[in-house]
Formats: sequence, C-alpha cells, structure tokens
Amino acid sequence: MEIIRRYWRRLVAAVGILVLIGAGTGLLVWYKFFRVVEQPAFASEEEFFKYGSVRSELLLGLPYPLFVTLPRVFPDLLPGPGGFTSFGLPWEEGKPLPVGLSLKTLGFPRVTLNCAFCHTTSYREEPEDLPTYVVGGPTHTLRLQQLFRFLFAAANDPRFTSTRLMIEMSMDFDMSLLDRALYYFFIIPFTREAIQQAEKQFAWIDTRPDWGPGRDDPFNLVKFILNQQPDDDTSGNTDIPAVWRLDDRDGQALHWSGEALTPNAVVTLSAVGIASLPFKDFKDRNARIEAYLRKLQPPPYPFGVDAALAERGAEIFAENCADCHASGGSRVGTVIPLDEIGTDPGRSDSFNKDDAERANRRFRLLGVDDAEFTAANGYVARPLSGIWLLGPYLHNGSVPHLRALLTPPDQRPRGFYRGYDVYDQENVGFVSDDAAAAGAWRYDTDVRGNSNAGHVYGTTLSADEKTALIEFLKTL
Amino acid sequence: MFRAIFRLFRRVLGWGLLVLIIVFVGYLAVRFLEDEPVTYADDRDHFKYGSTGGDRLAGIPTGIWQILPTLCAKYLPGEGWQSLGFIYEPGKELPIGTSVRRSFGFDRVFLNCAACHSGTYRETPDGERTIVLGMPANNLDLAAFRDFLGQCTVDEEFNSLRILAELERAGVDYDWIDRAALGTVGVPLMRFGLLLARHRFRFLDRQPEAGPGRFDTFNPAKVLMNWPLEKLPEREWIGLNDFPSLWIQGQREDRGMQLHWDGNNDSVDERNRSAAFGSGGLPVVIDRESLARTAAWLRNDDVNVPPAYPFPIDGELAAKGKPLYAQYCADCHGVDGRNFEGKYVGKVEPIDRVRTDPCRLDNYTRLLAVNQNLLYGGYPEERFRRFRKTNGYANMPLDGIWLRGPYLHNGSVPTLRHLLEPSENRPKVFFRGNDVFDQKRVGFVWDVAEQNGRRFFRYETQCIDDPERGVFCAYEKNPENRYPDNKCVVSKWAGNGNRGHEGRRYGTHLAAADKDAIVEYLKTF
Repeated sequence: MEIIRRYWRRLVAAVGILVLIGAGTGLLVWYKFFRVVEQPAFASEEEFFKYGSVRSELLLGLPYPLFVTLPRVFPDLLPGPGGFTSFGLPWEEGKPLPVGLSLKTLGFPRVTLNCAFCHTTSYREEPEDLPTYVVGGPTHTLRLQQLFRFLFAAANDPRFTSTRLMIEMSMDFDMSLLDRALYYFFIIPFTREAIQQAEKQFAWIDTRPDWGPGRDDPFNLVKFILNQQPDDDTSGNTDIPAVWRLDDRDGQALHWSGEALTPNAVVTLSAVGIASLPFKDFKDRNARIEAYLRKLQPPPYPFGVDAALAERGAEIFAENCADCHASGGSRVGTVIPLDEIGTDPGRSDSFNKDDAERANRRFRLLGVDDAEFTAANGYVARPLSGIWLLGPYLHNGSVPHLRALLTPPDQRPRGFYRGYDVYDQENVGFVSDDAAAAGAWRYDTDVRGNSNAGHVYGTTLSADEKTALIEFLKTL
Repeated sequence: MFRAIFRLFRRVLGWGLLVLIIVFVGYLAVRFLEDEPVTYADDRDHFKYGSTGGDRLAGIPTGIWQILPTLCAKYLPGEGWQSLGFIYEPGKELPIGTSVRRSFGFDRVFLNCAACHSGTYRETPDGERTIVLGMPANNLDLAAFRDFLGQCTVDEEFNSLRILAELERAGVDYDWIDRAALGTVGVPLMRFGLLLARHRFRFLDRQPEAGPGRFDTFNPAKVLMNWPLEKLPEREWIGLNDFPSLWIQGQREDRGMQLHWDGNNDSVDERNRSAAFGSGGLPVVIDRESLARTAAWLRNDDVNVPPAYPFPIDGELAAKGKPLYAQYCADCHGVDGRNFEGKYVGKVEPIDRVRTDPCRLDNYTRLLAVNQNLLYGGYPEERFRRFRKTNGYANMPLDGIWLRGPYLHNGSVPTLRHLLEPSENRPKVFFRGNDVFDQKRVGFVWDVAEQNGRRFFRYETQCIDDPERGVFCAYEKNPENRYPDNKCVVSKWAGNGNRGHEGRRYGTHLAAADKDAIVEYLKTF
C-alpha cells in the first residue's frame, strides 16, 4: 500500500506509456498489414469479374513486389520465358496483371486470384494471330499445378532470401525505410513460410497423375484441404467448366457430378475454394458475380457456319442429342448414372455423400450457411451453349475435338496435345496433333482418370451426318 | 600528479576522439550521399550531356572512365573511346552522349539519349565533320562498347591495385578517401555490376555482329526481367536494328504515330522511359525532371528538326521527283519532310506486304508486351500501358532522311538510290561506319573498306559460302526472310536481310531517271 501511495504517479505514467506503445504498435500493425484500401471502381461488370478482388488477400495474397520479382529471381524454375505468362495465363495488352488476378491493398499491395483466373479462355485462328480472350469460358491453357510447383520450388530454394529478393525488388520499388524493414523481417520470410505450409497441404497431388493445362482435381481439393480428410487414393482430375448462361441452369444439377444444386451455391462454394472468406460483403459480392454470370453469353462461332448444313445437323441433333442437351430436354441437367454414360469414373468416385456432409459441416463452421454440397454417382448432362469453346471434351477433357467424340471410343485418339489455343475448324476443338506439340502438354488416355471411354452417342451416324451435326453444334 | 595528468588526458582524448569520429562520419555521410548532376543551361547541351539518372546506377567514376582505354587498350579497335565511335566536341573531356553526376562520393559518368541519337557527316574523307543531334548514331558501335567493358572486366588487370596505380600514373586527382573507397568497395562493386551486365547481355553473342549504328532494342527488356533466354525459340533471338532519328517528336505524338520500328508503342513518354533503361535508368534511379526536360525539347518541333541538306540540289530534277514521290511514297511516308500527313504514315505495314527482314519483328513478342506492364510496377502512374504486339513494320515519316542511312529497320541498304532498286540489285556486302556523305546515291559512302587507317564494318546481307569459314546459313539459301517456311532462321547473318520494300508499290520498277529524280527530291526533306 505504502509503495503504491508513494509511486502511484510513476505507476500511472508507466501504465500510460505501455498503453500508448501498445496502441501505437497495434495501429502500425493494422496500418501496415491489415488496412483495406478498396479497389477503384470498375468500368463494367466484366472488368470487375476479370480484375476485381474476392477478398482472398488474407489467405492467398502474394505481395505485389514479390509477384513482380519471383519470376526474375527464379527464371530457371519457370517452364519458359515470359514470367507468369509461361503458365498459360491470359493477359490483355496494357493491363497491369493477367486476367483473373486482382491487385488490392491489405496493409500492403497483394495479388490474388478471382473466378476469371480459371474461367477465361483464349483462342486464335492462326499461330501468328494474337489470342482472343473469352470471359466465362473454361481455361484450357492454365497450368495451375505447374504454377503451384513453381511457388513451392521457389520457397524451398536457397535464393529465396529477403536480401536476394529485395535487391531485385529495389529495381522497381522505392520503399521507405520502415517498409523495407517490414519486408525484410516479416513479409518476405512469412510469405516463404506460408508457401511452404501450403506445399504440405498440396503434397497429395504429387502421388496422382498430373493435372495438365486446363484441369484440376476440384473435389479432392475440398476433401484434403478444407475437410482435412485422410488420403483415400482417389483422383478426380477434371476440365475446368464454362460459367456462362447460368440462367439456364436453375433447377439443374451443377458441377460435373451434380455436387451443387443452384447457381448461387456454385458461386458461393467456388468463392470459398479460392479463399474468399465470409466477411460481411461475401453474399453481396457472390450475388453480383452470379447476376453477371447468369446473363453472360458465349461468343458466336467466329469462323463462319454453313447454314444449310447446320440446318440438317439440327434435325440430327433433335433426334439424337436433344433429350440430354437441348434446353427443355427431359434429362438436361440431371445426373446420368455411370453405368449408362460409361465415361471415366474417377471424378465421380472422388466425392461421396459422406465427403459432402463433412464439407457442409466445415462450411457452416466458417459461417457459410446458404450453400450445400451433395453427391451423386454419374455425370451431369449439360446444356451445350458455347460448345465450340469447351474442348477438349468430356469431363476429364479426354477427347480433343467434337469429331473424335463422335467416333467410337476405341477409335478416339489415345494421346494428343492440350493447352494450345489455335483453333481446329475442321474438327471443332483446339489443334491437338503434333503441330501443337511445341508449347502443349501430352494427354495420355491410358493414365488413371484419363480414360476416353463412354458417351458413345452419335458414334454410329454416317460421316455426312456427323459433319452436319458438328456444323450445327457450332451454332450453340 | 602523473595520475591527474593521465586522467585529464584520458578525458580530453575520450571526448575529443568521440567528437572527431562524429565529425568524420558526418563528413563521410555528406561526401558520399551527395547526389548532384552536372547541369546545363542550354537545351541542346542538356540533350548532349544531361543526366537521365541512369548514372546513379551505372555511372563509372570519371577517373576510371579516363584510364579504362589505357588499362584495356588491347580490347579496343583503336585508340581511346573515340575508336568505338564516341563523338568528342572540341575542348570536351567526355564525348557527346555521356552525363556526369556526383553520386556515392564520385563524379560518375554514363550514357544518355544522345549517345545513340547523335551522328556526324562530312563532305570528303579529310573534311571537317558536322555533328548533328537527334540523328541516328552512325558511328557508335554500342555492341563493341559492351564487349570492351565485358572483356576488360574479366581481364586480370581489372583489380583494385592495378586500377589505383593507373589512376595515379594518369594524374587523376583522387584523395586518400577516394582511393580507399575505390580500392575496397568501388572496384569490386564495379566489377560485379559489369559482369552481371555482360552475362545478361549474352543475347548479343548469338546474333550477327551489330556493327556501328545498330543495337538490339528489346532483348534488353527481356534480360531486365531476367528471362531464361536459352528457352526462347530461335526465331525470337535476333533483335538488331538501326538507331532511329529523334526529330519532330511533337507531330509524331499528335498524329498518334508508332515510334518503334515494329510499331509496338505510340507514346513518346513510354518510349522515352523504355529507352532510358539503356542508360541504366531504372524506375528507382531515373531523373524525372531531367528526362522531362529532354522530352519537352524533343517535342518542340520548332527547334528539334533535322538540318537542311547542305550540298547542292538540282532543283529541276527534284521538281520532277516530287509528283513521283506523291504517287508512290506519300501515302506511307507523308507529304514531305515536315508534313507527316498520309493515310498510312505511322501505321504498321503488315510483314506480308512490306516483306522486309522479319527477325526484328519476331524478336518482339506478345509475352514481352504484356510483361513490360510490370516494369515500373512500383510507380502505378508511370507503368507501361501502350506496348502492343504487331505483325509488321511501321511506316516512318522521312524528316532528314538523307542523314538516316543505311536504310530499312536493320540498316541493310546503304543508300536511298539502292533502296529504289529491286533487292537482287542492292549491294550484298557493304561497309558501315563511314561518315563521308555520298551525294550521288544519298547515304554514307558504303564501298570503302578502309580509310585514313580506319577499317569499317563489313555488313553481309545474306548467306556466304566461304571455303575458309564455311557456309554460315543454318537454312540453305534462305537466309533472312520468313518465306517460304515462315521462320526466322538463326545463322551468322540472319536478321541482316536486304529484301522487301520492293515491287510496283515501292517504285523499284521505275526508270533509272525517275529514281534519280525521287532521290533528288528526298534531299529536300
């Protein structure tokens, strides 16, 4: 008591100083690491879709200076020249970042991905042409797995040090002494640690066949990363789908095997999949993205269609395909059982009812209460809007073009190249033969999960009928 | 008694030493943190000697710059820096195209815009030469400059002791602090920087020799981002082209004309920032004020104009050439040397039409165009936005065309008169680097191999089948064009092709007298 009486002034002063220091530090930490600077308004919904943040900065944000610098410090770990473009990222001329990446400041500028990262595709008429990008189409060039591997390899490389990276950063970024210190002691080491932690989460992908360009293993990502389930040795490699005309999909089963039941659920679940966290604007943003995708249209086939031939093809389509693929068809948007469709079971087998239930519990735990996974045994018969841009075909992208899809499975190519965006007008799909070999990835149908069996519909048509049908399909 | 003295001594010494150290460190801080370029009142002097800020990064201490040609004389083609084609004005210690800045405690020198954009001409081999600013540097062999620095750096003579001794011998006025700084940090750091530059510029080693007046513009952008060059497809390797002229930038900008050979950018500011990299001008060191001043001068079409043709012009013949020019050339090249109006002026002519050597075009890729958007990433306002991949070469206006030889983007045709001939009649081999003017054909004297003891650069336009050196073509007799295989083939002389810009659209079918008339008229530009 005596002591308190004698020293109370000093005590108050000491506590006051401590509080001030604490508050100051807190403020600094908030300002330098968590302060949100909203992105400038976007000129259109399309621009927002391409470059808008889904607020995944906290978990996935790569510091922008590192995004600029990593390809320069580790060129030998890249598949080719051109920085991040060597992973098949679409990049519009004049734009600061590739399509599907957003730049937003959360304390410091951070680059993250959004929906357009996987859902923007590209095509060219001739090899010498510049690519045309189509928003909402499925990427068939993006090498997601290689991009991960690049980041992992870089984080494990002895060159990944603050000193080395900051020398390179200092060529383009002029930072204050404080920022330099923060990058040196916190941001760069922490980024390295975070990438190394992520690598552990992705260890399972190396025990399975490669994704290749335009594919990933979506529901194993859910199971092993969100659910933290034990490895069940399934492999569900699948093509990334198109996300346009969601208006057509009300009341249909969605995802390849019908794991979701409404367009809103697809947007919500996929948003969580790219680390968009359910903060207060989560639902509004998802609704905004959904509204955009509901009305988004695929571009018409740009290379000319033989109208008379297409008209003949329309009849063949009505007779052979419409039940499952025309709007209003009795089976459109339903799951066709594996026994009936006969395509590779890997993707469907990778997610069952228990897995779905577990994922739903996790989502509720995160605060996502308006979207549910389910599971089915088979593949969804989907509407074919923009089918000309959806190649390679079938859920696992095992058939390079429509003409091959209309041939009996044992005559379909057993190996071809994917990831090349020059268009194959003859067969409708992308050029997949040896001409594509240079920059592309060889797809082998003998590998687990890559079977090109099944979907034998239309394979018995005459050659003329097939040509007419393909002509019609161009118009969808 | 003794103890008292000792205590006093210790106290004085202690405080004195502390004060002394503080003063000395403060002095060093002031001395080594000073950052002051040498400035010039006159805009033309500023263009010639003003700093882009690149000297902060790449600047060589002036004393070392002075002794390098002696230290590494064996790697120079002749005596002194001028043997690489640097132009010295009377009474100047440093050549045109260099700037000096006090930075890190030294006066440091490196190149600026004028190095590649100032040239000379003369009437006779023994006559006085005239210096022209904004003209393509017809003398400077920048690749040889890089080779010289690179070779000198790996030479065993390039070490602190030898350099300090050489500085003393040359009477360079460096005090002991300078010498200590150079010996311990300066020389090793310089060696590190030069070795890095030498390695990054390795793309020059798998191209034909550049020779004077040419350099590679966009491979440097690739190595700036440290691309793995070895993984680039062969057709993208060769980026050699002539230095362009820099006159009348205002009208070019106002008309939205393309500024690089392949028409990949139409912004003068971006072009300047992009080109400033060549002077060491990284975003963090660039001198924005100085560069803005240069840019303003370049844009001022009242002062930044080519000189009038100084030799006699046959007025009658030129008058005859005028309508021919209007008929064949004006749509693509402008009304005359000052009025750049014309349907296609400053626009890209598809390669399939102009059919000139495709290597430079193929060297600039879409991957590069979009990745350049990351340069100046830390400076969002200045970030590149206007780079585009094209499929041809831009139609340039012809202001001062008489001073811009050799012609075509790769400098493969020595004179204007030759350019009006079909490619099979153009010289297969000629010499570059001579600044004596050829008044008859308009261009520089091209058929003289050696003059006044100076050997010129032998430019080969195509495959040669030399029994001693072998056949230098990787691909039969199809050395330069992308026809018929649509590939830029890497060989000793790929990129040097002199084909294209020929046929009825280009006037190569006209009668000799008509061609003479057009050439005479072009002298008035």
